[in-house]
Amino acid sequence: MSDSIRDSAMQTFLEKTLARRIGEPIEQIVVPQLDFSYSRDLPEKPVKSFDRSKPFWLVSRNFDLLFVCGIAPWIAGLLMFVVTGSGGATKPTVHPQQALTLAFVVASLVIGESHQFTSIIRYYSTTFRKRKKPQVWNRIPVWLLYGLFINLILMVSIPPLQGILGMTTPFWMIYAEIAVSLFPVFLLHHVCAQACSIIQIYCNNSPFKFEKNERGVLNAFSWLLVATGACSIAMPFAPLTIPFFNIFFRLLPTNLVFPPLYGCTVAFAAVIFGSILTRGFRTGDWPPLSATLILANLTLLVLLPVPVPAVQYVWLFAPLLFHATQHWAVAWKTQEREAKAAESASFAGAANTGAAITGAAITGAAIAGGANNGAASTKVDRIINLVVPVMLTTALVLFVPLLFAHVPQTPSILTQLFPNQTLNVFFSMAVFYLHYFADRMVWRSNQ
Amino acid sequence: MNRRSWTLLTAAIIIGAMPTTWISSAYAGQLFAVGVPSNAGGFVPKVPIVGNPEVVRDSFAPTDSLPKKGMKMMQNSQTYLNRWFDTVKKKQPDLLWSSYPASIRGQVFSNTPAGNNPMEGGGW
Repeated sequence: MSDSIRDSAMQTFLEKTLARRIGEPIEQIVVPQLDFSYSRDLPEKPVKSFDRSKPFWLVSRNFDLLFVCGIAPWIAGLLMFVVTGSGGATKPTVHPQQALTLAFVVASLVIGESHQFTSIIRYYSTTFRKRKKPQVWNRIPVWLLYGLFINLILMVSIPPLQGILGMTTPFWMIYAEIAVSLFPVFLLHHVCAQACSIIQIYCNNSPFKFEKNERGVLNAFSWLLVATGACSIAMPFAPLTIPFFNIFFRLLPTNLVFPPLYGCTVAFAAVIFGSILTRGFRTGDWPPLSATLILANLTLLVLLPVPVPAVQYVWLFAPLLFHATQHWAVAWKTQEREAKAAESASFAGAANTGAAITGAAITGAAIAGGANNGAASTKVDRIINLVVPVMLTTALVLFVPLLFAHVPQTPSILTQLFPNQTLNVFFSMAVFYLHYFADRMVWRSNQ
Repeated sequence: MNRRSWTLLTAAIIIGAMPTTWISSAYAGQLFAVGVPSNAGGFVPKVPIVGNPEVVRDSFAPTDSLPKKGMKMMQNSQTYLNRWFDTVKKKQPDLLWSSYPASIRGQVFSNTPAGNNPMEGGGW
């Protein structure tokens, strides 16, 4: 057999094999796993399903360290401390202080209040409507929120209905009073729960894995922080009109409860950080720096204001540059991931069609798909598809009374419900609760 | 950018321009009108736009320079900050609520100090 005939036969064989393989799903191609650990008498390494191609940071390394892990509030707080005269030690500055304050007030609207609408918009989006799980139990509080406001609007607009609807008033009163009076506690729980979720996201993006019991410990610590905060920096509002809550919160001897609770939380924090260090030094299995920073910052922000009141300088920026920016980063990452997934799906469809043609066509499709993928997830597209709608909704909802003030012949019911220049405190709390409940559902990847 | 992005951007510019003007002017107006802490305790709401250095000197972060022309809104934003620190020092249980962004908006627009209890005050 001459060389040319042998080469031709080999080429035909390879082409047939390639053509057959292209039609096969990837899962069917079995790669043999060789494990020599036992034969060499080495300890078995724990199996970790870690995808190294998965990007670690939510936005970028510098952004995440500053605005997700919580370094920025400390820098901004220190800056504010210095420009306001270092607690009376020096002469306060004028223009830097004024500029920083103005920037803070504007940022509280643009970054702080708007972050709530990222999850609210997503809750009403097609993405959530096409979810796999019905999420009935998680949506009940949202339906109750609708019920409360429908009841309120009907009572104000149709007086004859007041008699019938009045029968349900006690129920709505209890619901509203719990929501309003415990608002600071829910707020702190939201901050802690979100921080703990992001800790887990970082750990999932790294070779370090949380065991199930460690996740339980993290949750327990989060609740302990909430309880400590509820007795120190996030106490429920008073007075309360519901006897049970009045007794529970007003007669609760906070002075007696707080010291042991605070001590327990400090001890728990010491145990957690001690176990992280022990595990790291013993096994070399360190959690990512970002996750450790978030946990440390959350702990300090809740526990430190009691012995060190100057932490209020940091707290001025914490909801903005620790919590709201975390939320924006998750929304940004989700938008990017979904755009890429959509492009990959369309590319897969194109590739399956192309498979019947030639390998060269597939290569061409891959190049085209890669180009499209990049185009779909550009920063400009994400700003337009995520940031712009959120900002518009924020402005529209929070400043709807301004809109009514500028629109002639606005119905009187609307001016009654929205008498101020901006959305009043109760409606603002409703926005928060909608965001709070939606947050528990909309960001899960299995949606 | 694809067609949807262009449509969204155009809608944002058209729909967003007018409310943005209202909101900016409303914020500016409120920062003009914010009060200053008085010597007798509490706050003096709606002080004249020209800053009173005698009053401001007693605040948490005093300044002895009168605001320049065109910087009056900035002067009031500084006063707002002084008031925030003064109040939070006295009401630590409301620290989280006082720094909550919606509460910041309420403090600016209602001219009330930080940590205002919505159960007692109502609205903003």
